Amino acid sequence: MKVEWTEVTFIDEPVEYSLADLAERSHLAPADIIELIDCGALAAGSAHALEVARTAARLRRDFEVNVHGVALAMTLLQRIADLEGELRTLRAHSPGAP
Amino acid sequence: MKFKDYYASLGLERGATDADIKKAYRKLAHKYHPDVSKEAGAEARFKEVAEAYQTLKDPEKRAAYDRLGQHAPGEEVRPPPEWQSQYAGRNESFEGVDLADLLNELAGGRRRGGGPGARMSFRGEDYDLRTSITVEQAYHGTMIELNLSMPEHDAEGRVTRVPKQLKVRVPKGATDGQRMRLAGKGGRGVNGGPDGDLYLTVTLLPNRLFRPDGHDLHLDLPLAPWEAALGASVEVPTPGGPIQMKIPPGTAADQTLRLAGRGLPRPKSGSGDLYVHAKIVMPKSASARERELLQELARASDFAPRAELLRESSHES
Repeated sequence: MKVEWTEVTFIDEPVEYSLADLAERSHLAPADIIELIDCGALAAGSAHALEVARTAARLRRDFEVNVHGVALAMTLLQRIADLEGELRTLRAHSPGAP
Repeated sequence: MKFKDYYASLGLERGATDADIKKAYRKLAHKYHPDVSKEAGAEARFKEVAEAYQTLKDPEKRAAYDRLGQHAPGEEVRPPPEWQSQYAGRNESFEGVDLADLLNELAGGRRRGGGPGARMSFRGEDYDLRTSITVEQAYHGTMIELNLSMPEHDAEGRVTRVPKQLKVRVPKGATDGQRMRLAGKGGRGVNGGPDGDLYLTVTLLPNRLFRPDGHDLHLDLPLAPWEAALGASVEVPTPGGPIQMKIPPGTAADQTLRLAGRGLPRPKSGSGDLYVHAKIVMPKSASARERELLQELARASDFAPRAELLRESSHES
């Protein structure tokens, strides 16, 4: 079996992807990406733009929904992630929490 | 080639209609899709469900699959003779060939039709992986091993699965949910296209002592009532090893003390803090001498711990 050594890069820094690059890497149509940016589900130039675009592409493909459905799902998923983050912080600050 | 029971993956009988297949897939996708599900093992289960659906929703792929007949999952099967002629050059037994890859080739060959598009170059697929590390590994940095099975195209465009092990150095600075990129470690580019990337999400394994919040850590510190009252110097565990900590006199239960820079290191510079939550604990049983001393303290003290409570309740009534 092939064994390779590799280094990783943390994804925290904003990366500027061109629209074409974002489209190629996420398998979303450029028009869909613009639509997602317009409705606020995707922030171009954020460190997580590619991750968000790839999630959108997965939701679109796997749930067979249109880009508006994807945008709504992404907004709700983000709200859940924010709430889970708050819950994690509250739990960490609570003595005796698991 | 190992048999996979696509009908069973979707909880269906072999004669299921297209509508049944779609309905079963949607139900299972809602339950197991890794972007929406929190169930344990959801990702692996969804992969199985999606692979089954990709085959069964396509009439040609489904017909080809049905010609394999019914076998036990994992059983070694020989494809029908017409497949063997279609894939001339494959080893005869189709050993090590993935069923889904083969069915995709069938569909891909049909769609491409060997036209000029077949030589276009494509960027390799990006892949997502998850792994868990301990708080101590995040603190010191660590080496992890990822075992992958990567699809690779040969000169004729046929896909084979190549087992590969990646030894990844995770530098210190990662925390729960940290995303990382392994550039060029995703799928191979096709016809000279660049290789894809591998994305790795790290989660922290639950720790008996430390509760992480970003790069900060929280720890419950049990103190004897007299340590809290009089102050003390106590040994406190930190991910970098135990340290002596000064507990100020008059420390109350649930009071939080901060050990600056003793949390998880941040990627570039600096570190999170370690928050120590005072927990005042009582001995399970007190000796006669301890009871004597506590009784003496009770007699000597004029501390009224519930004064505030009583004042509030008299206002209420």
